[in-house]
Amino acid sequence: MNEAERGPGPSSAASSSSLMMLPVTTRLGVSFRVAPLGDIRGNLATLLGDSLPALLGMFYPPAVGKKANVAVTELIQNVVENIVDPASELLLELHVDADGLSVQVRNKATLAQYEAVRARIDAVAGVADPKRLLADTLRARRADRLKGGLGLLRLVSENRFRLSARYEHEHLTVHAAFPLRGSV
Amino acid sequence: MNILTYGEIMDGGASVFHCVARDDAGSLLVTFSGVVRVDNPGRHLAELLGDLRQLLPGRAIERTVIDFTELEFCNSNGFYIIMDIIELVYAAVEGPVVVRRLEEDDWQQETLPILLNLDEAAVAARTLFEDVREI
Repeated sequence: MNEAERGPGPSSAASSSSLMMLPVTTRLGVSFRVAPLGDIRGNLATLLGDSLPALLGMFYPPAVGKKANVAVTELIQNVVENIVDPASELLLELHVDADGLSVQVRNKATLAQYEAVRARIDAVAGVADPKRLLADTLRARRADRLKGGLGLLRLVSENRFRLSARYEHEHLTVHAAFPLRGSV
Repeated sequence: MNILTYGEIMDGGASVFHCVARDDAGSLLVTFSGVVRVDNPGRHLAELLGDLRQLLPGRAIERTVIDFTELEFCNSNGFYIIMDIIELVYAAVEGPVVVRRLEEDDWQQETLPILLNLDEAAVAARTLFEDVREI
């Protein structure tokens, strides 16, 4: 197993005040799987992401649902846009408790795809200012409308997620974690 | 208040995003509302960009408001088209630009300033943020 784990610390300025509004006591877990991926019609990332603010809003401050929405949307979108085997499966695991928000997405991938994802995670971890990296990346890629990696970069620079990736048995797992302990 | 032009994104047969440009006695109001999630939003909004390019230059605009408070979600696919619209507005009109954004939204607080290109001194000097609390 190879693993890369990166990301800055706790909550962003934008969301910190609402995260301090309520104590988090509820433990929530959501598991979603679909196979074969070739059967997906329409915008799966939207359907899954859109459902989260209302669901998580029942138990947590609105910022938690917003962060979950962004993470699920960007990670599922990455999978759907890079399907290597239409017969394979997608697994989404989302957990929230007092320690934090965790979103994990697993799908069949090539080693090259894993290495590309890991390189992006390493790149954002290697800079002191992820927002600067996002700004530079957007400027460099804008003319050609290149998208690769913007979603992962955004999860770190904008939403302060810690990202990690691992590769096991031809499957890539990307994990995004946001600590809530200390914020509530 | 006159509607100058608008752009719309349809997804799955439903209208999910609107960008509307209005002119009100020397004030330009550009509002973004809905969600940007489709794969290629630029394809949906090309006509809007063309209209803005044609309608804004030379118009007597003293003040501009760009309002993001009704924009509920923007995925990374939407970053470039937002940049295109903002850049076009800043280039076509003079004077101060008030950017209305949600106070408690990571995208609007953290990434939107990057899309506005506030690193450029001329843009930063014209920009004033109005943070709005979501009800």
